[in-house]
Amino acid sequence: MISIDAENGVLSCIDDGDFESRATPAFECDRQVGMGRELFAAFRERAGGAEQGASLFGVR
Amino acid sequence: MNPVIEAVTDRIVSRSARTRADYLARMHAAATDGPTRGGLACSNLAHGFAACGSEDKQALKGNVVPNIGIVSAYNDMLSAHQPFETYPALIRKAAARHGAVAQFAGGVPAMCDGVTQGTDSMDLSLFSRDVIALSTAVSLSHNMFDAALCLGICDKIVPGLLIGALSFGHLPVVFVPAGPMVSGLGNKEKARVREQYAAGKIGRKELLEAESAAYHAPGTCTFYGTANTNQMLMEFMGLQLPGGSFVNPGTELRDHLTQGAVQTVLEATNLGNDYRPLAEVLDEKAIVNGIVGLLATGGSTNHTIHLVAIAAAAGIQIDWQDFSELSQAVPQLSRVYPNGAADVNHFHAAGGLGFLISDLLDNGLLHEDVNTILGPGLKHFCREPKIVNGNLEWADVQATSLDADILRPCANPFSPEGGLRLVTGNLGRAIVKISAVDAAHHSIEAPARVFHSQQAFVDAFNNGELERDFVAVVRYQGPCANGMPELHKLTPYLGVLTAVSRLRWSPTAACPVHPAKYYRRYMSRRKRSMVARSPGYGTAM
Repeated sequence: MISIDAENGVLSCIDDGDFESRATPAFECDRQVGMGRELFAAFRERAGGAEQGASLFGVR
Repeated sequence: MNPVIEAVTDRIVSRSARTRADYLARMHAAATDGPTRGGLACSNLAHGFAACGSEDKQALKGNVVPNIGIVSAYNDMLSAHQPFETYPALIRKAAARHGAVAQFAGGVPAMCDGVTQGTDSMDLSLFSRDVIALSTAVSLSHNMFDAALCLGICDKIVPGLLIGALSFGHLPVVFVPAGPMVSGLGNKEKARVREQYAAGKIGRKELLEAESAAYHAPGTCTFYGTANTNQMLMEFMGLQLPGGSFVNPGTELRDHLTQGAVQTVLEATNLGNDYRPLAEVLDEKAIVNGIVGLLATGGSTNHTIHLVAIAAAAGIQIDWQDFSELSQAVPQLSRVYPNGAADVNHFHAAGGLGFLISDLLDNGLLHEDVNTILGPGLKHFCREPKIVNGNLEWADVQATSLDADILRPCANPFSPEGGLRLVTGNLGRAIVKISAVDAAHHSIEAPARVFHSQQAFVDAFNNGELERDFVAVVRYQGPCANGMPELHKLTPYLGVLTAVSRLRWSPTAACPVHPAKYYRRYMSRRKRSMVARSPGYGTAM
């Protein structure tokens, strides 16, 4: 169960006890090849998170 | 000055003190007296102007004539950028009239999200911003220039150009737009036809006819998405001529504005006595002004990502808490599609950006004491361009909105606050655009339904598995996983889900929610996810 409460600033999985301890699922993203995506491997490795601008550069 | 805006600005200044000082010191070091090409060895210099005409060569040898570097994102895949084809010649002529020279420093790539949306190519889109920044740096690294003009409009292009140009912040830099296409099929009708297609009620031929009527000419798409939000930002941050963002391509005024940009950037070089380098224009207050503009206009939430990256390139550190606090102080003053039925041409005609800047300044919601390409003071941007006797002149903007359904003053806002909210919890941090979600659904609880791709969501939809309340989580959609593509492939399906429920869902051109470290502790990669609940709720992250 997920709670999103924009008025009160909440973004949470309502914990039934096992959320924190559950296993990390396997990474199942599409293989990033085709349309030049293989050339961007270094970008994917180095990019910051969205709140950091999703950028290669960061604050210099 | 509004106390919230003042407090957030002070906090940003304080947080950024070290990195901003370091940035300004680097830019100061780069700003030598006179054209830096004077420091180039003769062989380098000869290469630099080998292709110039003899008059330009003589001028550049003399080392006292300003040289403008043009960085352009021209290609004709993007309707918005197609008009740029002829701009370099126009700019060179205008420069010559002022006794200056302009060289085409470099082209940068530009991709159209409208063409690539929902395809594998979208995985390159956000990263293309950084490629554009790198390309801008390569262009300007010839070190032959006293000033730069950046030609670009669309989503990743303006942020990329600006990030790249900020590494050359010792130069004056002016952004040069080309304007929106004239209005075609209305955006609301276009969305209706797309939903009919998704529901199987009409065929592909009818869909293509509607799309072609909506996107029908050179110029920027007319909805208020990321491209037109870029245009707003360039004016609010003092980097583009006032009132020029939404003047249509191919008009006399458009050409005058381009020529005016040449004159403006030439007046701001280090050769004259009114030096206005980019590094001093884009400061902490300008960034806050940009965020205020974003909130007041209900602009694209992609800028909760891009503005962070732009600010960082100027040594300024902002975060989503800043956006969220500013949002509670800034009223919503415009309604342009997808927030309303009007397009940017209607918005411009109703009073446009000049009206907004003027009213926000009067109400203490913008910093007036900023530097702009036109000199100190955001008051320069309370004017609009006119052609008088064949010359570009400036007039005060109108004091009242011509259409209260599109544009309103602070005294009578659409909403007393900006509509962005920060949400946090054990799933991470995210931004929600509550202005795009019906108030009844600002708070929801529903079971998670997890998908590993947009296609998996579409498959579940087609199998009739989604006619219930759920929060959709689309995993592996973050920068490190696949480049964080927008998930617009889902938009028409979400529209249908809520249409079935007879309740409203408010899609936006940009996704209303952007997560930060979503699931970071629990999964191997950062995520971008899309959340929806039917009936009655949908938002995207």
